[in-house]
Formats: sequence, C-alpha cells, structure tokens
Amino acid sequence: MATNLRSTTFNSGPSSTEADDEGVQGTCEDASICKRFAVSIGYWDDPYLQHLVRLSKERKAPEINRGYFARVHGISELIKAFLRKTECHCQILNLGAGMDTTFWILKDQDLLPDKYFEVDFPLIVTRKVHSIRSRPHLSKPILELHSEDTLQGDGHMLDSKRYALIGADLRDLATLEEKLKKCNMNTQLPTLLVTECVLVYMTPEQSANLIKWAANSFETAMFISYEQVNMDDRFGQIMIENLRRRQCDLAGVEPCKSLESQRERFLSNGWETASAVNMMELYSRLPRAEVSRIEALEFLDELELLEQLMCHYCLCWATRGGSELGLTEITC
Amino acid sequence: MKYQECNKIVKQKAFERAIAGDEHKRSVVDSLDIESMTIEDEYSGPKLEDGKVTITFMKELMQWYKDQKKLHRKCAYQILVQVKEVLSKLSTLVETTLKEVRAVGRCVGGPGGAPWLGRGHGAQKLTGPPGLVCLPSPPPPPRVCLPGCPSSPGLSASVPPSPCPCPLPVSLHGSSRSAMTSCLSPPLCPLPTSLSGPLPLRWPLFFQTEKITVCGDTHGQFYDLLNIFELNGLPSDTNPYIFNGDFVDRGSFSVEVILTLFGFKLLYPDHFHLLRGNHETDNMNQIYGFEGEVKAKYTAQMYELFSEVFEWLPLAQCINGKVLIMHGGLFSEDGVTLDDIRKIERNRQPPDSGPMCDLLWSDPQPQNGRSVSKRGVSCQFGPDVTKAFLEENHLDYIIRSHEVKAEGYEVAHGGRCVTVFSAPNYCDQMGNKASYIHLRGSDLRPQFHQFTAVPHPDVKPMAYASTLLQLGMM
Repeated sequence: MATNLRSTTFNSGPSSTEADDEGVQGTCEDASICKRFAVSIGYWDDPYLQHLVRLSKERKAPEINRGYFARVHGISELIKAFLRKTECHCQILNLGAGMDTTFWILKDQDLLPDKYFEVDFPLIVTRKVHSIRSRPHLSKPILELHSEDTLQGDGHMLDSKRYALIGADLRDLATLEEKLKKCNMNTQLPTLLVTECVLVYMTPEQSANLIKWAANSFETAMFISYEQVNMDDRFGQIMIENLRRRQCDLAGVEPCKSLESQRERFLSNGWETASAVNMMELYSRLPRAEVSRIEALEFLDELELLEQLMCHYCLCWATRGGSELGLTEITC
Repeated sequence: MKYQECNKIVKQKAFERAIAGDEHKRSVVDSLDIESMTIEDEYSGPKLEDGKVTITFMKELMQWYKDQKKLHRKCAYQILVQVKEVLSKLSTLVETTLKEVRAVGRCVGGPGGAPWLGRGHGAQKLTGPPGLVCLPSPPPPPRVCLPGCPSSPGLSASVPPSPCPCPLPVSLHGSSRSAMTSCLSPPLCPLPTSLSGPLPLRWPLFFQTEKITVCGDTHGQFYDLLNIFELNGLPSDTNPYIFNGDFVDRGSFSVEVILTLFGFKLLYPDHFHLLRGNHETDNMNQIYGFEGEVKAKYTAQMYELFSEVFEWLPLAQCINGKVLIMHGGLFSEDGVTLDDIRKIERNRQPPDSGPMCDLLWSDPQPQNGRSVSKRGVSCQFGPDVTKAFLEENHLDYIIRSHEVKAEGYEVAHGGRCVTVFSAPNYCDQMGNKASYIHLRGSDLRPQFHQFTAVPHPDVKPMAYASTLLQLGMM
C-alpha cells in the first residue's frame, strides 16, 4: 500500500520489504500472547485479551512476565495521568495498537477519553475487527457508547462514537491523517499518542517524521513510547541478530542507543519536554505492594537475567503545550 | 512403662518423618513395563547393549543428539531406572580420594625393563611426599602411552593403553613452588630411550597424580557440554568429572544434557559424579522449562520419573577430606558438620529452609555475617562463616556454583569460596565465559580453565520457557 514511500536504506527490494512487514506484524501476536500468558498467571487483570488472542501452551519465562507487567503498568499509569489532567476531555491515538485492550479497560474504570483511536497494519486491523464484531464481550461496550445500533465500517475498519479502529501504514502520514479525520479526530483536543514497541520497526527518518507530524498536528499533546534502549552492547547485538533471522528487522535501532537519544528524538522534532527511564529503574519505583504481589506469583531464581533484560527497554514520554493542565508534571 | 516410652518415641519419629518430607509416593518405576516396550524397526538411533550403557552407546548418543534427534523412550526409561538405583545407594555426602601419587611400574623398553621405583638405580622411593624431580621446562601436551606402559603398579601388560597423566611431583620447598606449578600441567608421559644403567635423578619419572574435573551449571546447553568434552576429554576412569548441579532448565536442550550425564554416570559410576542443584527440583522444572521439554519430547510420566531420580542426587562431595563441593553454599546457622550433611535424608523436594535448602540455594557475600538472600530463599554468608565452617570440619575450601560469573569462575572469601559456572553465554544473553576446575591429588588448589560458547541450532522461539532473548519483549 505504501511500499513506494518506504525509504530503502537497508532493503534490497519490495520482496524483502513485504517480508519485513510480515515479520513486524508477527510481533503483534508475540506481544499479545505474552500478555495473555502473564494475565493467566495473575500478573494483572484483563478480561478482554482472551477474546483477541489464544493462550500459549508453553510457559513464558518469569522474566518475560515481570517485564510485561512493568511495561503494561508503566504505560497505563501514564495514560491515566494524562486522562486525569485533562479530565478526560481529550483523545487517545494508540498507534500500532495490535490487540491492545486499553479502550475496554478504561471504559470499565470510567476513564474514557472523548474518543479512542487505534491504528495498525490493515491485516492486523481486519483480524481485530472480526474479533470485535463476533464477540459481544468486545462489541457490546462499544455499542453502548454508540449512537446507533450497529457499528460503522466494513471488514477492514470500524468507527463508532467513542472508538475507532483504522487500518493504515504509519509511514504514510498523509493517508493516516486523512483516515483519522474521517473518523472525526479533532486536532483541537489535547491528544495522547501511544506507541508500544512500534517506532523501532521503522527507520529513524520515518519515526522522526511521525513524531514531527504529531507535534505539528496537535497544540496540546503528550507522546508515550515504549521500546528498546541501550542497544549498542552485546545484548543488543544478539537481539538484533535473533530478530533478523526471524525476518524482523529493527530498522529503527539507532535512536535506541541510549536514554539520551530517546529523549533527543522528541526534543528535536517539535516536542517541548521529553523524559525517559529504563525499565529496571521503573520496576524499582513500582509500588512495593504491587511488586510483592507479583514477585510471589512466580519464583525468580536469580536476578541477573531480569535486570539485563529490563535495562534494555525504556519508557519515554514527551509533552507539547498543556502546561496549564499540568501535563509537564506527569511522571512515572 | 518401658514399652510405652518406646512406643511414644517410635510414634514421634514416625510423625517427624511424615512432616519432615513429602509423602512417599509410589514410584513411577512400579507402573512401568520397560521390557514390553518395543523399539520400532524404523528407529536407527542408539540402543543400550544388553540393557547396559557402553562407551559405544554414549558416543552414538552424543552424535544422535548433536544431530537433534530423539533417543527412543525405552532407552531413556532404561537409563532412568538404572541411574535411580545407582544414585539411591550413594551417601548424601560423597567422599572421594584423589591419590597424590600413583606409583607406576615398569615401562616398555629395553631388556628386562627394570622397574624404576623402589629398586636400586638411584630411583626415588615413592613413599610419603614425592621427591624433588621436576622438568626444567613446561612439558608438552599428553601423549598416549605405548602398549605395555601400565598406569599403576601391579597391572599386567595386558592393560590397554590409555593416556598417561604424569604431572610431575612438585617440590614443596618455599620459593620454588610457583615455578613448580607450571610443571603441573599439562601431564606428560615421556618414554625413555634406554633403560640401561642407573637413572639420573633428574630424568622424568613415571609418576601419576589423580586428577578430577569439576564443572558448574550447564543448564541445558548441550552443545557447550559437548565442547567441554572436546576440550577436556571424554569422561573415563582416568578422566573423572563432577558436575555440580543445575543440568537442566533455561537452555533448550535439557533432555539431551541430562540423559548424557546420566549415561556417563552409569558407565563410570565411581568416576563420574553428579550433585543436585536447585534446578533439580519440581518447582524450578515447572517454571524454567525442563518439565515442558520432557512433556513435549516424551510424556508427563517420564517427567515424573526424572523428578524421582533427581531426589536421589547427592547434595555434596568431599575430596580428600579437604575440598567440599556443593551447588549453592553454606548454612543459615553455625555448627553444621560434615556428619550432619551425611545424615540428611535427601530423597525429597528441598524444604523451604534448613541445611538441605542451604546446600542448594545459598550464596556467598563479601561482608561478614549472614544476610537475607536476594533470591528470597536461604541466605547469603560471609567470609567469617566460611572460615568457621572450614575450620570446624578440617577443610581447606569449598567449591560451589549457582551464580553466573562473567569470567566463568570467581574466587572469594580469601580463596576459601570458589564459584565455578560452566554455561557460557548463559541463556544466549549474558555473554559470560564459562570454566571448569582441575583438582589434583598432588595439589588440591583449583586450576581454572575458561571457555566460550559454541553455536547451537535455533530452536523455535520461546521454546520451553527458555531463550528469553530470542524475542525479548516485542
């Protein structure tokens, strides 16, 4: 769809591009399977994930489960902080959302924004649309908030009063913007953009464009990004190599060099403030009660692997405007 | 009155026994009928010979595994049943002697081939501490002896040739000690060109000291285990090994590792030793991959049998009454003796605390005293604890494993607490070196040999809860 717009810094041709996209799309399943597994052990509650992804027959390592717990917790805290500061008069754009269930969880918590948008590759969106349409647990909450009896859209997208699911390529910003606007995205509202392991899959140029587009589109905004960091070391090299063998290129690994470079990519693309913390640091700052609870779920026999894994992931957040709302105070 | 007293004691002991351990379940062995298991014609893999493990079987098995094939379940069951029997007869504390010097009798050569030892010709008598003979320069790598070179006195010439480890006796005189150390390795077995006439004292003599190799955690890293055997030689009666626990979990080839180790245990029961690690337990196997791997490759019943076999692994080994080896470390309380270890009834899952738990779980710490373990079980013990334990038990030092170390080993507590870890690039992630230790009867100081990871086949991602790094968190 947007292959002609891809910069070919590393690709040899369209076929490898398609393979790369497929590899990237595969990570959606990996992430959701890992999250569902962690939920099944009791790390956190999510009654909606089971309707979107199967339960893995093989156990995931405790480090992976704890890692996903910290990730989900960290992102969710930042999202809730934004919603509170804006008193829910805002919109959320979850870019590369995959099988994310935040919309349904926020509805249960009475914390919905004016509208919640999810964007992902058309192939992934089609699957999600099908799941939503065929499962009342997923469709009912959306319909409850909708003005009509049925949801708009076809097999490839979904639109309703408070929730939209759009198939688009995040590297094709013009089309992305057009589709968002068709679903009543309001650039005047304070907007939260979320990318959870997304930017690393596009080139540094493409992600910079996306970040810049977001800064230019919304006067009052926050951007939350979760992905790899400190990738210059041996651990990073091994991960890159392993993923490459699985046809999944970390095209955007350059900005993942350090916390500094992660902050810089926002500051130099129109954002006013930028913060970044590595997940080991974040984990150590989690409420002790929560940590005790999850550490009791699965016995971790040694800490080295967990620490090393967590030190290679970070949570970043950047703000633009919103000082009167107190957006710049938000922290993790 | 006396009867009542006795009865009370018996009842009390029975009660203590019952609460002390898991219920004694019926063994999987009872419900197995290995004899009636058939091996299909299509199976072209290794089979036990007359129900026994042989060196041929072991070599075929390692190649079969290297080619990523599966051992027939009948053979796996045969091995497990036999090794359970062997292990159950061992003491919880295995005691091993490495001879300082083994006298070597006659050697091949000229007429008569007069024995060199204990008879004229100015040869040194080999009683008590060895003499002052030493090679002037580091000896060349080991060579196989020619036929007729027996490795110990009293053996007939029909003893098959074997590598003749002959590190030379070391002078224990003061300052020359460090120079002597270089002569200790590698072993050498030169043959004299002539046996006529008196032997000059400085001619190399056929001394032999017994050596043992101690390996730490291997964690299902089968290809790295094969590499240990490449580097250090296959196990044999003259190349004994101790594997200090944590053979399974985390790595993707735990089944291959454990069956190989059990096979060698059956082949060389007195020269191949396995000690239990904290990962030879149900809780760990459930979470860290071994149970999943056995269930995927075989059945849940086979896993149950593995679990039973693990319960019989000894918990510690003592070399020459001087070096104590265990997987984890020392104790949460003072005053534990070697006899206390010997008396532990080990055939159970480890309790949450106490000496059995400590042996499998504890870690050294730099500061004196004891602390709560960062693992959440057992303790961390300081140099003073180590010193006191060693003194009370007349030991020189301990060797343990359990912790990944960047260099594959670490010497702590002023040399009294040595860690050895034998899983290089642990979990395909840590990038660490691994090592193994040589101990010699003539010199019980640890000699470290480091090695790095070798490539291994890609298994499917997230297999058996292992290989965290293959995908990390996407």
